[in-house]
Amino acid sequence: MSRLPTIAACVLLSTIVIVAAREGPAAQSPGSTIDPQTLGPKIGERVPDFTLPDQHGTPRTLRSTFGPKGAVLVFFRSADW
Amino acid sequence: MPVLADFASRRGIAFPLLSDAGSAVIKQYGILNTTVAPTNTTYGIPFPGTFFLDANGVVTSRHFEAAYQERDTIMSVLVKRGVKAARLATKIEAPHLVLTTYVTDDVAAPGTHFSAVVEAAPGPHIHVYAPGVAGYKPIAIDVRPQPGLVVRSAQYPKPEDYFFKPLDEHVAVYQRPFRIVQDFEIDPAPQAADALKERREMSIAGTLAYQACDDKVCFTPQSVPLTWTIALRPLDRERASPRP
Repeated sequence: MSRLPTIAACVLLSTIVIVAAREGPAAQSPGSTIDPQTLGPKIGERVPDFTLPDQHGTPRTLRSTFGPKGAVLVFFRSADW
Repeated sequence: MPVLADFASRRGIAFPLLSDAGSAVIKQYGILNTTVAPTNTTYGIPFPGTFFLDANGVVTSRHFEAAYQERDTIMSVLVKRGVKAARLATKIEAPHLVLTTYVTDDVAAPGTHFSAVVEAAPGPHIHVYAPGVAGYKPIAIDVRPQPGLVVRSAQYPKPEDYFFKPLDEHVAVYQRPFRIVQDFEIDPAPQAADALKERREMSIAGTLAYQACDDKVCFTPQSVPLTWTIALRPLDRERASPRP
């Protein structure tokens, strides 16, 4: 598997659905159309840092995953369903 | 974390997988998938998105997809942003064009969006015609259809204007090295499951058709065969913990 020199770190965010399912703020009704292209940090904006546990249980800041040229931050669904 | 550790070891993942309990970061980023009802067991998932960050954490590019079941590989996203992939490539000395071609990934599962890249370098003083040009044979990738493969769109770069004085004619051409990206998907439809069953790899055959001209002569249109191979894997249906 080749790795690009420009991409030094890949981060995958996974939600723990059981925990998430207990939360209850009202969401938009299912089926409504939302364009995700309009959501989240935009090009040119700096993303918020955070600390989350990795697969070894070690707390990681976003910054700690960066390589010399930055990172690819992938948002993914749960890894358990 | 045991779930992520299990997933990472099953899939040979070495990069950090971060667990976002309560979808806190997903909400902080404003990308909670609000089309999922809070009563749904999948509530808490994000819209499937990827952010490319520079060393200062500034977004340089972003990519959101329609559904998490069918996603582009990172390499497939990057080659469409001009990144040169360090992949094993096949070099073809075609008439008037040197072609280098490769697939973006080693392995794909049903629902994986991947790409074939064709880098083309026209010879000295040679140009070839961009899609949409009339009167000459425009460059085009044609892929042989097969069960289990979805042939998606191809991305051609922005052409240059070429002024051919003898005919007082402006045409859209490529005369410098350029890249075509042809997108594919391993068909996730249930009907395709039979065609993919037990298959370890897929060979994809296609042709690159084009016509090359220099400033005096137009050469015979060409059709160069291209083949790509990608290993297939089934969907990962293993789970770290038994179903409740």
